[in-house]
Amino acid sequence: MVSKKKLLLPLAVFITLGILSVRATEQFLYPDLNCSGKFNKNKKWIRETGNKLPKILENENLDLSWSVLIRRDSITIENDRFPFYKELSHIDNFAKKTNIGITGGYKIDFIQHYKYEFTYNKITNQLTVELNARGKHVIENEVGDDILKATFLGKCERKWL
Amino acid sequence: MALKINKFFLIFLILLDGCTSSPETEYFCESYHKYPNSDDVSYDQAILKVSDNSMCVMDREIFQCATSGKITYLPWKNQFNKGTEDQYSLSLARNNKNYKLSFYKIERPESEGSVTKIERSGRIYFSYKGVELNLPLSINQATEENIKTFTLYAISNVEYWNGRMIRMSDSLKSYSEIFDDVKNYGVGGSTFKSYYTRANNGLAYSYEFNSQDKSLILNFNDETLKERQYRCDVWIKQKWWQL
Repeated sequence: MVSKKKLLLPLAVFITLGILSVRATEQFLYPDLNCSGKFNKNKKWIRETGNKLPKILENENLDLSWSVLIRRDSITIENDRFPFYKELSHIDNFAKKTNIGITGGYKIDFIQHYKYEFTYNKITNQLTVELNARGKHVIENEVGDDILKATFLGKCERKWL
Repeated sequence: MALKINKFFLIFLILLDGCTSSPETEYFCESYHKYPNSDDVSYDQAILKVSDNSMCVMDREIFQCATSGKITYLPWKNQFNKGTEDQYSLSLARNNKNYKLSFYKIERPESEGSVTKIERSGRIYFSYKGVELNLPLSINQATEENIKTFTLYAISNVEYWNGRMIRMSDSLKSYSEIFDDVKNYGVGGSTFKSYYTRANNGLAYSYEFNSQDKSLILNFNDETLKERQYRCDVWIKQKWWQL
C-alpha cells in the first residue's frame, strides 16, 4: 500500500512539468519577443507662411528595446495591438501573416496624420517600424506644420518562460 | 432497424433545414471618408448580415434587422435635449443583388399627455393638440405602399411641435397643402377653427448594399453629410480553436 504522502511528490513534479511544457509549447508557437535596436526620431516644424526654413524640434538616435507579443489573434508592438482578423474598432489597425513573417500598420488622417507601418521578419528575426506623422502646431503665435519621421530597426530574441 | 430509421430521419431533418432556411452572410465594411476642402479622412466600420429576404445592420451598437414586406418598429426613445421622443421604423426593399434598408423617423412631444390624440396606421403618424370638433374632415392620404384613408378632426388651440412632413405620392400632391402646418376653415357663420396635423414620418437615412460588388452606401437625408461609401468583404472571423 503506497501512502498518500509518497504520491504527492511525483504528482507535484508531474503537474509542474506539465505546466512548464504547456507554457513552452505556447511560447514556441506564440512567442514574447524582445527587440533591441536603433530608434531614430526626427521632428521638425515648418512655418505656413514667410520664412519656411525648418526648425528642428527633436532629433534623437537612441538604443532601445521594444516588446513584441505574438498571439493567435494579433501582434502587439509596444502596446499597439494589430489584429489578424477584422474586428469592431474605431481605428484601422491590422496585421497579416506573410511567407516571411508579419506585416501591418495603421493610418489616422483626422486633424493629425499618422502612418505607422511595421514588418517582422521571422527568418532574420528583425523588426522594422516606420512612423510618419504630420499636423498643425502653433509656435510663438505662428502656425506651422510638425513633420515627424521615426524609425526603429531591431533584432528580436525570444523571452523563454 | 429502429436505429436505421432514426439515422435516416436525422439526415432528412438536416437536409430539410438546409433547404428551408436561407443562408445568411455576414459582411465587414470599412469606409474612409474624405472631407471636402480638407485633407482629413475619417474611418468608419459597418457590419451587415444579409440573407435572401432580410438584412441587418449594426446601428446604434446593436443589429437592426428588417425583412422584405414587413415594417419593423424600434422602441420610442427620449431625446432629452430636444424635448421630444423619436421612433425609427425599418423597411427593406430588394431588387436582385441590391438591398435597400431604410430608416424612417417620427417624432412626438416628450410627454404624450400634452397631445390630445395620436393616430397611427402603417408608417403614418398623426398627433393633434387641441379640442376636437364634431366635424370630421376626411382626407385621402397615400403612403408609399398603399392608399389609406384618414379622418382628420378639426381642432382648435393648436400648438406646434417640430416634426417632419410625410412625403406625398405624386398622384396626391394636391393634398400636401392641407398638411402644411395650421389651416383655418369655416365651421359655420363667421366662426373659423383651425386644425393641425403632422404626419411626421420622414426618411432619415438608408443603407444600400450591392451583394455583387460588395459596396455599401449610407445615405443621409440631411444636409451635413450626404452619403458615406463603404467597401465590404465577407467577414472572416476567428474560429474557436484559434482563440
